[in-house]
Amino acid sequence: MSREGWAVSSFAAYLRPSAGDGPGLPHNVARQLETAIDVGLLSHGDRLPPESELAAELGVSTGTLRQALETLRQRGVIETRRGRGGGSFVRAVSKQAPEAVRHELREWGADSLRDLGDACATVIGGAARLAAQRAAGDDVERLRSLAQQFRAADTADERRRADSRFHIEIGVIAHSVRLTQSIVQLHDELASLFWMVGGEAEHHPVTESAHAELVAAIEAADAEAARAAAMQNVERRVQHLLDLHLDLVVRGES
Amino acid sequence: MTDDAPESLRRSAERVRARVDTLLADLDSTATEIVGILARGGRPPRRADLAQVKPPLLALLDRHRGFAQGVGLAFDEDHLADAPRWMEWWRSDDGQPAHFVTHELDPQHHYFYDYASKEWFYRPQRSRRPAVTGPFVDFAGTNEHTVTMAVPVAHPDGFVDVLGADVAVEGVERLLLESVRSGPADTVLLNDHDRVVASTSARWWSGTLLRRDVDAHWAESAEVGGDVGWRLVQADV
Repeated sequence: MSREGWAVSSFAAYLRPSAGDGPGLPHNVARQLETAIDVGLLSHGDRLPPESELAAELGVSTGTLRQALETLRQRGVIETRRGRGGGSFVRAVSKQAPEAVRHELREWGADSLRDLGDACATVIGGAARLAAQRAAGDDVERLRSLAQQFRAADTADERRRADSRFHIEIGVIAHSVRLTQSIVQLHDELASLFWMVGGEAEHHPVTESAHAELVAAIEAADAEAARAAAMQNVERRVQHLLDLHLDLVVRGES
Repeated sequence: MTDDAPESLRRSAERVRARVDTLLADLDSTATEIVGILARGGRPPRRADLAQVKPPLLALLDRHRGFAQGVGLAFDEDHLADAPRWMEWWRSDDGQPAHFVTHELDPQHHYFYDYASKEWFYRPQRSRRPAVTGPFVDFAGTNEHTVTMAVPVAHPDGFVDVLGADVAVEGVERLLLESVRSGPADTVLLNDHDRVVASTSARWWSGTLLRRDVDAHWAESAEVGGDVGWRLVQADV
């Protein structure tokens, strides 16, 4: 470990919440940390760094961070121990019960889902366009092999992982550090929600053909087709989540 | 201008070659040193034995301060007794003391750094020759747009590790600008995929592919040579 207690050395940069203070920011920070735990960036038993350090890492005020940590404490995602060897520790996140997942989806406003979708589609679309212009050597082969790993996946976890790695690779092939960083933040947030609500139960054939379409466009060096394919896939997922969300609201589930 | 362009371009290529060769030669002699260190230690080697490898790595990093930002040893699968995969990597930013770089080496992890599948590792390992790879976005590694210069580390027991140095694209840009000393002609440093590594002009961007059929007429070309696999091309004035 490069720094005592802080399990993620090179990834703090990827956890930066969107800029700007505001009422939504603690919620945003809580969600970023939760996604980090969800995808395995932080594991059970990991100790979070001191609040002032973590706040500085995330680029937010300690006040905002404290609010976010309180939310996570209430949800049982972290626990805080006092005294020697104390601090805030990550608790194992057991698979959320379906009701908890539905509750989480319902908590998202439809407009927030749309907003996340817009940002995600734009970032991935932009990266796909550059990837089509810049792919060379074994880039396409690597991307194809990541799509193959998705097809070969047996569990939801494996699918999520393969899907994430596929999208990150688009940023890499685009030769864009910033877009890769943004893909990690935005795509993983949207995808974790998508896979969590059982998006993969019905949709993985759709994801598979979406991957294939994107690989083909990048191989053909067709920048506009790559961008369109990438954006459409994100929009499809947002559609699915919005349908579910509105369904939950209309049925009055809590 | 076009009359002496070939020679000045060749000289520029030689300067680039000289700087890269200095680093590759240093990596090579450090590799030999490391083979000796590990041969004297426990068999098979364990992670605890790597404390002996730290001084030559840090010394190498120090000698190339301002050019390479990180150096390290990436291990052949199962070479170490107590880890199937391992990277002993050190990094120094802006003259700060070097720090160890943690890499995620659990294949189950979302952001597993599968170095064995990366060109910077497998090319020198398989070819048993030094290799210069990139530029590439080293996600989960340096997280920068990077060029890696690496050499194989062949042990008597048959394992072949890789010793590498990371040079940010900015470092190569500085090298190019220092090496190309005269003339208004655009000069572009290309890798073996026709990808721009660096250029002296705002028109040609690092990471992009050079489309030969478009825009500029490339008057001259000079191979950087050796194990580097780069070439310099210069546009017509």
